[in-house]
Amino acid sequence: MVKGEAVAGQDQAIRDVQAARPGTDPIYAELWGDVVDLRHLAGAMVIGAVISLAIYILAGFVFASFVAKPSVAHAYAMLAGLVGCVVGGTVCAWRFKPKRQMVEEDDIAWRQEAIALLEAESGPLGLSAHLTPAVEREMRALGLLDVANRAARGEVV
Amino acid sequence: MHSFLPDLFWGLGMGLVGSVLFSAIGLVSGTDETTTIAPLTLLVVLLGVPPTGIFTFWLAAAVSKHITHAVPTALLGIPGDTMAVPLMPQATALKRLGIPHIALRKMISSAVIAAVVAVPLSIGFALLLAPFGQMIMKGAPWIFLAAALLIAYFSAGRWASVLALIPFVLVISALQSFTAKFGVKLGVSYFLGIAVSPLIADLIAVLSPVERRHMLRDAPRRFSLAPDVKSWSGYFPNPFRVLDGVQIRWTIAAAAISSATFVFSPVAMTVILGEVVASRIKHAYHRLTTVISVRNGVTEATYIAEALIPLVAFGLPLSPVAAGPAAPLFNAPPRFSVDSATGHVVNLHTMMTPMQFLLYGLLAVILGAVVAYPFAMNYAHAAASFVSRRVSHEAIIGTFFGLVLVIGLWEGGALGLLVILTVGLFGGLLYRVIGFNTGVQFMGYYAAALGMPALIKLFVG
Repeated sequence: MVKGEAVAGQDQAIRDVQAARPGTDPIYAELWGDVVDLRHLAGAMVIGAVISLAIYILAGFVFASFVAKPSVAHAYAMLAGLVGCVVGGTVCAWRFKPKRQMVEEDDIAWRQEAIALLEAESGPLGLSAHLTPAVEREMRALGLLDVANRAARGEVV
Repeated sequence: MHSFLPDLFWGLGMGLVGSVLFSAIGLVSGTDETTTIAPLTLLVVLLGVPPTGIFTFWLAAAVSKHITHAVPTALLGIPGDTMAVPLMPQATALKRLGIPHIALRKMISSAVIAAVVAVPLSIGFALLLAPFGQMIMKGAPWIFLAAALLIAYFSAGRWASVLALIPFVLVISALQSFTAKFGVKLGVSYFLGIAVSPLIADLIAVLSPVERRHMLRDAPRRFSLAPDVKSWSGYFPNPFRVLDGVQIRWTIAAAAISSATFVFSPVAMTVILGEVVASRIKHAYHRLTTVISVRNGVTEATYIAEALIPLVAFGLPLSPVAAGPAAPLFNAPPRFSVDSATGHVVNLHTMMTPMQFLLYGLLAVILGAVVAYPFAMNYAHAAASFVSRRVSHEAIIGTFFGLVLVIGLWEGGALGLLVILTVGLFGGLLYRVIGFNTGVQFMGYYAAALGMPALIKLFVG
């Protein structure tokens, strides 16, 4: 990318962010596999760093004063620091709520769609020559056989 | 034999601690095995726990985490960790059919069966390979280089990963000689940097206005959780009744095959064996449930074999798992060490007999099965709901940020932090752009640490 383009891209990105989310609205971003609010993320990282480091450094002094072997005191300080990470994480969990939205799914529609998709990929889901007795029992108990068979006959479930 | 009872006591106690701790950690989606199991195992080693305690702790932790990470995988549709990724298509299909709890129960039941099969078989394979130990020790630096190239080729990046291995190994070698100037020799900092490299790359990318545009989202993530159905009475379910005969046979067969392959990545084996089974089962529903069972059994068996075979046979970390999450079992200075120049090894390999590996390996699997299996079967729904409603992703990242700071400072002060940042950003970007995954990065680390001295000797003299 040439330099001019990069700068233009940056300006555009900043304008996008400012236009879309003025004031203190959450800024959602997806990183490391889930969605976060960038402001909360910054807060959580500060909290995680301060609490774990404070406990680690403090524990270093405390253990050094009464554990004879320095290497063992050092290892205990790390253990305390790890506990500090968990404490920090707990504070963050309490302070910043998850950015996940629970949705009530329309079960029937989902099931029908899923069945149609599966059958298109890999053959009939209901009664067929390949259905063994054990599988048939399992599907019946789950209420799946009934739904699949009715779908196969073209009935609305 | 006079030390049998204390050894057993340590094995039982540490195994129980590992199992309970990692049953809980496994519920948190996205937690990588290497970032969580490796540092805590290192701590157990450095605190001076006897060998049987260390080994049982590690294996019970790995088995338990593998069982409970199926909870976010099946119920939330979020991979529990990298090994769960190949199971996502089946997990999603079963979730859409409204039966994610069936996916979960089949997955973990086959994991328990596969673990029981994998422990004795991998120790058996290790004993077959052990006579070649001396030869392998002598050629260790070359074997690491060859293994790194092989694993790079089998990663998602193929030839791109093979080429990227060259600068990656050079960067690590350069960092090692740089810290050596200040008399600092680092190990865990490299492991941690590699393990959290996707997180470091994402955090830095989001600071860049150019990249941030691609990462912004309009709304929180939407997810749904299906209602729970319990199909057995009492607390302990029987894994042999959750799976049908066909599924049990395929799980055992696939676990046995994957126990023998220890240089490949668990993800690759999982995909291949899953496809083999899928092509043989005709009914659509049965194929879904069987493939998800077999795949989860394979990840479990490969994982165990990749740690146990190199450990029992050679004492050298010659596989992605051994180089990553199991690294402290091989190399944890000053207590455990692997010297590439002399081929001299001091670690669990020299401290435990094959019989002990078998005994404590089975003990660890049983502890995992007793603690994590019924817990996941009974409380999966409540746990998944708690995690998704109460534990924010911000809190998880905050915890890991603290972990990086503490471990980096603990091992090498400011130099430790610099190494984690450098390796993490470089490795993470390579992963994002060309699929140079963390398994290849770990092998790259070993190639740099053990293979480079041999290469330099050959070319520079």
